[in-house]
Amino acid sequence: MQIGKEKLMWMYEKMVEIRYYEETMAAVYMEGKLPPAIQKGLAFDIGGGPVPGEMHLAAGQEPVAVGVCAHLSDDDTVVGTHRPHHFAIAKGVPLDAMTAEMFGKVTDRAAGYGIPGIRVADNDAVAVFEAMAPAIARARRGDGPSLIEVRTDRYFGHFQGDPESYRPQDEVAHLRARDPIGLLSKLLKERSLMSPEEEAAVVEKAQQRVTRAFAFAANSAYPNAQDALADVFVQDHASTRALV
Amino acid sequence: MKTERILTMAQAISEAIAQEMTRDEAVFVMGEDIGSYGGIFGATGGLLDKFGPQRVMDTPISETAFIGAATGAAAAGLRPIVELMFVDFFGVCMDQIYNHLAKNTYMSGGHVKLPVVLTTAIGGGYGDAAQHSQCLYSTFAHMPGIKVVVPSNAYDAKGLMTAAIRDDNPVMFMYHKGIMGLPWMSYLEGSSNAVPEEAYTIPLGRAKVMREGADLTIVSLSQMVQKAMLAAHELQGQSIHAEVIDLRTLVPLDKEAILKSVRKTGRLLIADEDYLGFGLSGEIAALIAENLDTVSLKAPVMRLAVPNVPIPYSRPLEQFVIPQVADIVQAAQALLVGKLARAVAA
Repeated sequence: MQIGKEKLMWMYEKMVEIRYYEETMAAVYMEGKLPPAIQKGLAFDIGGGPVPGEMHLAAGQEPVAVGVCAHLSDDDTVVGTHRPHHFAIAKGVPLDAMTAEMFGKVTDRAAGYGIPGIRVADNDAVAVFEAMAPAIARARRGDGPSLIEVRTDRYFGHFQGDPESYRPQDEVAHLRARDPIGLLSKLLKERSLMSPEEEAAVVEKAQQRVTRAFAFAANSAYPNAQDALADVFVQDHASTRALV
Repeated sequence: MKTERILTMAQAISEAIAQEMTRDEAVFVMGEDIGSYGGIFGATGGLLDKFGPQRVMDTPISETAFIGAATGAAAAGLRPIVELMFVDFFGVCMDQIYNHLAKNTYMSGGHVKLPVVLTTAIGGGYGDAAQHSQCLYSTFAHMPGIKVVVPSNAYDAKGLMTAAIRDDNPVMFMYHKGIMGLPWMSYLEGSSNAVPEEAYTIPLGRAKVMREGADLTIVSLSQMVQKAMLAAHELQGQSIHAEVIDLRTLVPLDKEAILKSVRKTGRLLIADEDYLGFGLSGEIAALIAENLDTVSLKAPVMRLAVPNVPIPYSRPLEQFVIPQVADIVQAAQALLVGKLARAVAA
């Protein structure tokens, strides 16, 4: 299957954006969670800082999101797992609102059963894209679902702060040596589809979008406490507010 | 002279389990990340090293299978302790819990013993959102057939865990994350206290008067007891004397302890971190309503609980829906408004 330059460049740019987003989130997540800003005696406070709670990052899994979403249009819907940032970014969820939401701010709301199964052995955006083509065509024809298993990688722990005692300490270093963003960059250059200048521009653009989103989130207002009572049910808020 | 040994609740729970495993070979532990990880909230720390993988078993993420396995093992004579990380996740295996574990004793005419201890983490306050922050103890107390233990401190946790393991019935042991004394989550320090080294039991179904007082009764449980104690201390400065009752277990419920205290104070505030509707606070209010022939109230019963909304992620929203120390203080003041007015007049 031949993928055109436009698609490849889109996938590359989105992968860079996702990676930078996750790395930025990893850093911001740690703010306010370390001594001496926390309760005495603690090494880390999961509830502290601008982004409290558990953080599940998707760095390393970019090929899966872009390989899938490259086939999708605005009318399509994609559902991720608890580790969904890469899908959200590849599908085009507005970064500012998404980041503000993760800051808890107002977002200015502005193979059985006959299902075909395909296994993608490489954590490679082009391979995911190619595997998705027949599956999406099948779904669009109304012929039913497909199961695609991608052997992808996860660079960060299950959650930020995870001691990762379940995998060898050097596993991530080995994975990063075959980083899918680097692989796609190499392919684009080998095919003379991307110059070093173009690459620099793409990376800068992607990183600027992420930086802007984090600034937006940090500068957004927190909601009013009473807003906690809205949205338990749909329809007009006044009649469906929780009865306290 | 022997100095007191202060333990966190997590340490107290794992010590109780270790002592019972030493005492009784039928006791074993299984669950997700309870082995080398020591339980994500530290409740099984050190057990794998001490007892090995035959008795401390990490399971796959297959809750229906391992809760079912625990039920079967208990029916066959073992005494499993099985952990399911967050109470919020119990939905995936409810058939095993409420159709099998909770009912098989009854449906066998009392012949089948199922001594399973189901441990899980509850509670919010640290920004973990609607699917990781619930208490839900009322849900499990509502369903007949499971005892429900909800400790507020390390001393009680050890004695209650030991009693739970020795109990021949299914027991749900629910520990609040915000009192486990974890090095990675802020907690209310009153929950870490002196714990004897030797094994001891605290009978299930016996509440504890944490602090005596004549003006009002605050009935509470789990982390909310620690908040109630802080509130009672603050109220003391305003000459309001609160009696704080720690229920310790919901099933069995120590009704007599509640009635006795409310007969004395005439005022009741229920401080609860579960949902307000159809739950613990309503049950206790009903208990008082059913006993108005022997309890005389000086003010209507007051309830503090999570308004009927999922726990929000955003910090100001989460702090708003979960009752805080200041909310308890304010509610107590409202209950005592008559007394305060008289004091001002005098």
